[in-house]
This record gives sequence, C-alpha cells and structure tokens, in this order.
Amino acid sequence: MKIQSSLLTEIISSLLILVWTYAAISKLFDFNGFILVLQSSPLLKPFAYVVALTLPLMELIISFLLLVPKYRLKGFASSFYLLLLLTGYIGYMLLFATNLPCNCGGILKKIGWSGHFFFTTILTGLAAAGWLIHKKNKYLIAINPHNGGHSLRQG
Amino acid sequence: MKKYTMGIFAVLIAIGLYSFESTNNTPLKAVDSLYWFQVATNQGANTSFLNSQVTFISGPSTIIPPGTNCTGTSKKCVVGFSQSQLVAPGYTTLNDNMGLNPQIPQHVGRERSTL
Repeated sequence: MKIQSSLLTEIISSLLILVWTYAAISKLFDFNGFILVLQSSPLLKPFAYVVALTLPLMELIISFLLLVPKYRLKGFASSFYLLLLLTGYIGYMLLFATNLPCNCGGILKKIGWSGHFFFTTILTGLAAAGWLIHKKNKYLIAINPHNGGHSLRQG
Repeated sequence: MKKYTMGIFAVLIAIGLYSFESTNNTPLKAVDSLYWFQVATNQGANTSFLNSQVTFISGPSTIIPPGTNCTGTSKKCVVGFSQSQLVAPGYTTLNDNMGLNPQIPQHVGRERSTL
C-alpha cells in the first residue's frame, strides 16, 4: 500500500513538474508577449511587470521543490495554493472580463479559457491529493514484527 | 539519483515540448511600434474606427497581442495605431484611447473569419 501511494505521489509530482517547468519556460522565452497579455488583463494590469517576473520564478522554484523528495511536501502545498489562485483568476476573468487575452502555450491555446479553467481545476485536485497522500506517507510509522516490534519512521 | 529520475524526465519532456511548440509558434510582429486595439464584434469590416468600436489592448510595441477570438483571415480583429492618431480633443496625446476622430489603422495585426 505504501509502495503504491509513494508511486502515486511520484507520478503526480512528475506531472506537476512537467506543467510548472513548461509554464515557466514558455513565459520566460516569450517574456514580452507575456507582459503584453498581463497588461491587457484588467485585474493584473497594475502589477504586470511584478507578476511577469515573479510568476515564472515561483513556477521554477515549485518545480525544484517537487523534484527533491525532501521538499516535496512543500512543493505539493505551493502547487495547490498557486493553482487555486490561478483557477480563481481564470474563473473571475470568465465571469467578469469582456476581453480574454491568452498567450497560453501548447494545447491550452486550443482549449480556450473554459478548457483552461477545467484543466487547472483538475490540477488543483491532483496537487491536493498529492499533498495529502505524501503527508500521510511521510508520517507513517511502520512496525517491523521481525525486529522486536521496533518502529521505523518513514519519510 | 534514482529518486530524481521521474522528476528529471518530466523536466526534459517539458523542455522538449516547448522546443517543439516554439518552432511552430513564432510571435507575430509589426514593423512599427504601435498601440494595439481589439476590434469590437460586428466592426471587423470597417476601414476606419471610432473609439467606441475598439478596446485598447497594449502598446506601444512591435509584438502583436493575441486579441480575442482572432482566428480566421477575412475581418479585422486586432489593429494598430500610431500615437499621432490617438489625440484627444484638447490635443493631448493618449495611449489607450482613440480620441474623437475616426482613424484608419496603420497595421491590421490579426484577423478573424466572422464580423
């Protein structure tokens, strides 16, 4: 059971690493385009430059946290909160914004804002699941009956 | 090292995906640095535009912003104006407003199929 759940967190963290790394690279390599999109957003326009600099940096840091097993719990937590924020932003834009600019890369460009909302909602759920499973595994105590009942702290 | 394998593999896939995507997706650029506006629905066939028919997106920049629903090739969707065209009644130059006079775009950045 422990092996299965750690494999599951491994798969979820790899998926999140893939998403965050791709998102960060596409923003950094099309930095001017990303700033233009942020400037055309009514909600983010005043903070366009700050967001353009900090968001890819945060995405890379989260990728690193997820990559290193020691920091993975923090990686899952940060992923969950950032995805929640992103889902909230997309939801707000869908409900209230008249102009919906998007420089999302790859498949996200084709699925549009509603698809993007659905995608981030699923990722938020995955990050939450990864966070909970990893937390449970980290503090799991295994009893080895063949070793005089000594407990082995996992994590 | 084994415990990093899947994560490193994910990073490599992300880099590979971006490399593949970027070769098929070069950003649209205009020759001049312009102020970019989204053309309102039903106004895509116009030759000139009033302020009420467009919405400021960004600028000045040579990079043409994506706009909204700009897929197609026949009607105007994102248009660019030079700053000299963005003049208020009091002769103040503006950055995000067309002023009062109708203006012909310097550049049609993106188009769509429907009006």
